[in-house]
Amino acid sequence: MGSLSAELLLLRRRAANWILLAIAVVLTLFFAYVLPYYAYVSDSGAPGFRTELSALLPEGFVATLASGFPFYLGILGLILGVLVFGSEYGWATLKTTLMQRPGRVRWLLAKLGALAIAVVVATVAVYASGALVSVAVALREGAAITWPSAGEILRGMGAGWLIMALWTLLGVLLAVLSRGTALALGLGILYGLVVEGLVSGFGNSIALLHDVSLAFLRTNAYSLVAPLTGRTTEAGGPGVFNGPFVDPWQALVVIAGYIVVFAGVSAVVLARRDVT
Amino acid sequence: MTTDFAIETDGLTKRYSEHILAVDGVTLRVRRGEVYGFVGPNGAGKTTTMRMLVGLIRPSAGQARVLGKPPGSPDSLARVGAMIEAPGFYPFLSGRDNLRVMARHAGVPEKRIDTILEQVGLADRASDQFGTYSMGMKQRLGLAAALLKDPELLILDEPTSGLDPEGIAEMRDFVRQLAQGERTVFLSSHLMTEVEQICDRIGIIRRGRLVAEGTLDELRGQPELHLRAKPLDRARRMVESLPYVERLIADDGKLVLTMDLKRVGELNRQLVSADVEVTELTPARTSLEEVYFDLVQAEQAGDVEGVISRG
Repeated sequence: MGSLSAELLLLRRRAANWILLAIAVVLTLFFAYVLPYYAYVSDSGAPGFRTELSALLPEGFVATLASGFPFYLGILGLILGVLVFGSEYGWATLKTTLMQRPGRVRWLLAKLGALAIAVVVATVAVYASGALVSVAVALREGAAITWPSAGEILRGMGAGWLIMALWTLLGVLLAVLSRGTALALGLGILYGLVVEGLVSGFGNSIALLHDVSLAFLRTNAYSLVAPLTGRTTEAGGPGVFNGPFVDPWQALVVIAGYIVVFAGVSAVVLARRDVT
Repeated sequence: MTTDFAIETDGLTKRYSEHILAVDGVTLRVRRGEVYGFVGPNGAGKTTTMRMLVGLIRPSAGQARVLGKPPGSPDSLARVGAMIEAPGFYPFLSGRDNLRVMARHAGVPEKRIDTILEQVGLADRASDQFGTYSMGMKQRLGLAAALLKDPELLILDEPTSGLDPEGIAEMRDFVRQLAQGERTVFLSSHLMTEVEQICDRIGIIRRGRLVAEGTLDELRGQPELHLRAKPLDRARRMVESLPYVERLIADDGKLVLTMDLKRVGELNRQLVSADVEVTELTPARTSLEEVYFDLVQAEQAGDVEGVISRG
């Protein structure tokens, strides 16, 4: 518990983590509410991207917010994972900490535990802020305030947490492998925003790439939230995922598998490699 | 291996690649309660050896025990405090909060932190961010982290590195204080005078190999006596006849004698009674630096056996 509380203290005191949380909330509100609401009131939505008012009301807040996790919230999770682990190499604090006693695996578990809690905080903050704004929209539009079921809210938060944890762990793995932040951030963002997207795009014409893209983080993350968002087919609009989709339960298993693999490989590398 | 020693290594080796052999079969013993100086030039293998002793890197061959335990094991680290190279801390945290993080990882009560901060003279700046600290303050915080566990064994790698002369003197005094009592200190440095002043025993490492080990006196050998006298020839004949003078060398207008220094008074009386005017009679000891360069020369000449046996 001592190591976990040490890591929580570190997370709390680092301004960069709060800035990331603020960015997560601001991006969510901007892309999930501000832009769509502007499009709704000005009736300027592009074809295929017409905003339904119901998506902006409390009854639709889980579906609206869940679709942000596989995209920008996942990338923010990746940045969090890279910063938390990569900085330990850059500041040489890994060396100082390991000499104190905790043991490498215990240190890793403490850090992952703290990150898991941080991702819970981020997920709750995203949903809470989205819920508040949806109430504001309902009040402005004179619409009824009807909340989704508790089960749906929990499923949405669970899926959001799992997806963000997945990307966070990819960040952790990249930081541990590269022993720093810069390369890990570059590779992670390149992979998350470019490689998966391009390969998926070519998957429409090359069967092999289509099969490969079924294993992608984005594919499985979007597939996991698909029952919540109702988006399982191609749709237009900025940042909208065009597939392919897999069965949500399959996606759950694949994401859980990735989490185990990313954490496991990080643990093995950390345990075996010299700290120089 | 027994636990009579704080540190025991046998053939400890670290090879990074086919061409880079950082530590080459180092076998050393650090006794409990002593201050052991580990000296050598930059790149000699001091830091790599220390990193192996705290489990940061794994040996390629050989073995080590630290306080009777495998290096880097939680049992060993619980009783070891270490500062290896420049201290690494979180720049956004204060000195005190950095120690709080370390104390929680070490399982040490946080109430010890203020005591340690006082001890290292950092109490006044403990609330300031580490990123604002001077080099000397960073070193002090590194030392504070090493002392958190009130360790039986303190491993300090170049603790005066980057410090100004005043800081070096303060750190030297501080290490002396820490070494009082039962605590063992294993200290590395490339500053021979620093080690000379603090350490009970010394190991000299060069190119990854321990080339000598012993007390300062053992390494420096028997002290010499420098004699200037008039007339020098008469003095020389006189000294040559004395049975307790083991060795005599004429050097640049003076005589260099190797003998038991307790008999200097007797020597002086005998010279004066032989009508020799003694103008200088000074004991002179080889410095550790001179010992080091002698060893380097011997090693370069291929006299490996001579080098190792010196310790």
